[in-house]
Amino acid sequence: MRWLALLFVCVLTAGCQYPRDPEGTLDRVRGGTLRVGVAPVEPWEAVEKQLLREFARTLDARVEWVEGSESELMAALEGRRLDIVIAGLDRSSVWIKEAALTRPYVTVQSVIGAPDPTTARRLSDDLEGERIAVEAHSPEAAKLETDTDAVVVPVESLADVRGPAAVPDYLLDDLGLVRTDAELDEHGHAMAVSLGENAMLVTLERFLLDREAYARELLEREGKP
Amino acid sequence: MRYPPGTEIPPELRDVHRRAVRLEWLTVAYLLSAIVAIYFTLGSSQAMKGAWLEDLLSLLPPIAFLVADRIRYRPPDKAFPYGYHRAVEVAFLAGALALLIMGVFLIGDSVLKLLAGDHPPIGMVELFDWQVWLGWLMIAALLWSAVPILIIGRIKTRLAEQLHDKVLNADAAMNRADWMTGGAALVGVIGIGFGLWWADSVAAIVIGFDVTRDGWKYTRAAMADLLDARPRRLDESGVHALVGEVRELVAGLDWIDVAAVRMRELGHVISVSVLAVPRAVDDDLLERVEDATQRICALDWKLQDVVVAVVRELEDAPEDVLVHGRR
Repeated sequence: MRWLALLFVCVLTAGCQYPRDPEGTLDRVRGGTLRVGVAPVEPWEAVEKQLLREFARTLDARVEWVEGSESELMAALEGRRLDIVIAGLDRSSVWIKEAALTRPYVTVQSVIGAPDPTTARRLSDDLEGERIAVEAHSPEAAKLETDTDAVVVPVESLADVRGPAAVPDYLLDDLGLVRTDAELDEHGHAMAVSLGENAMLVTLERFLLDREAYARELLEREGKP
Repeated sequence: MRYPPGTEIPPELRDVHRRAVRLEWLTVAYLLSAIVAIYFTLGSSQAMKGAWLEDLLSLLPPIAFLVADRIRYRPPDKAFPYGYHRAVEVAFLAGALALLIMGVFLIGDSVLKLLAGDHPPIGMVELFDWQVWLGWLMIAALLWSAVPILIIGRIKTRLAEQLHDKVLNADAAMNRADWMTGGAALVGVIGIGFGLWWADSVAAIVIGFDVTRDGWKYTRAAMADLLDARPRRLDESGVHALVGEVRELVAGLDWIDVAAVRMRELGHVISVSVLAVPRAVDDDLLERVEDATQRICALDWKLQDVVVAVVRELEDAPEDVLVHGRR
């Protein structure tokens, strides 16, 4: 019990960073350079870059952007050549053993949108036999095919669609669609930090959790059908 | 002679026994709460995983005690002429094996993680809009899983001594391992906080060794019981005092020339069989045998299944089990 009390005293009085990084990432970045790996994925690249630019500012750091594929960037992150990787990752990512994922800073649902409230009520009840437009070759198309008994209508671009469509929820306003209760999927989006760099992880998570509404705003602005 | 009964606890110990049963119910309820608390703060800490597994396995001995408690008072019947005392031993072996396997697993798993250089990440969590480092919640959960069990374990050790109950004693030992595990995991999590990534795995390995040692000790004891070894003290630290007392008593019977005294544990009572070669066969022999049986029974309530048989001679008896009558 005595050493526990000692710990509390240390944490409270010294104001020392707790938890700390085994490899000192946060200390190095503060006033230095934040090395960020970016996989070019729309609309996430723009959203996450903006968030990290502001995050770097809170640490008086400049940002060095490194482009690459998700696999390349994760390998570099695991080898501590990068500090953060952004690639439109979600919490169910396969990288959970190679990298520490932040808490989700924005959650996106794939939903069925209807052109008007009456149709929305009908679709909320039952999708059977309904013709639902969906972007061809998208994860929403796959989900719609396997999880519902709607008639899937693949389209090249959602911009010209008049009827109901399966879309990520941040596109609903752009397309003038009304949200229905029919949800296909949900993804919590996160960024990746080097495993075990807990000071870095906690600092970034705090920053992101305070800006959930702002992140949502960025996403609505950047996401285009 | 009275047929060896199935009921075993003397009236003066009934209260102690009732308290033990109550305490075991309390243990089960408390452990469930600790298991839930640690489960929700588990994260990716090795030591936390160890503490959680240990809590989970700690449920076995109290449950075994409570189940055996329902069975062991049944009177002897046609199918089980020795009664149901040993129901406890089945439970004892199961609990000990679980402990052993878990300890080995924990060591292996943690050594691998340590060699791989895994840096455990512990991030933030949100509890009803309140942001907090998960490490603090881990520490709180570990304190809850360590401090009360320390007190419960102490009380159990005392009750187990009075009742000569091995399951209860193994359970108390498990509780000891439990709070030590909690303490080591606490050091591990706090270590991670200070940037010592290896603290967690090292703590888990230390925990693993402690658990393995207990598991090995009790597995061996349970196997010895199954092989009808002579009664040992509750904490397996040596021969039970009653072994000497019974031998002394038999040696003091002037009608016995030489006798083989065999004692073994039946659950938490002790069974005695004496093969006695009398100095002379006369009309009083039956009275003497009855008297000897009663005097052994009167030594202690634990001596319950006592048989004294008269034989003409003892061939090939190992010298160690023989008692020579004093004249």
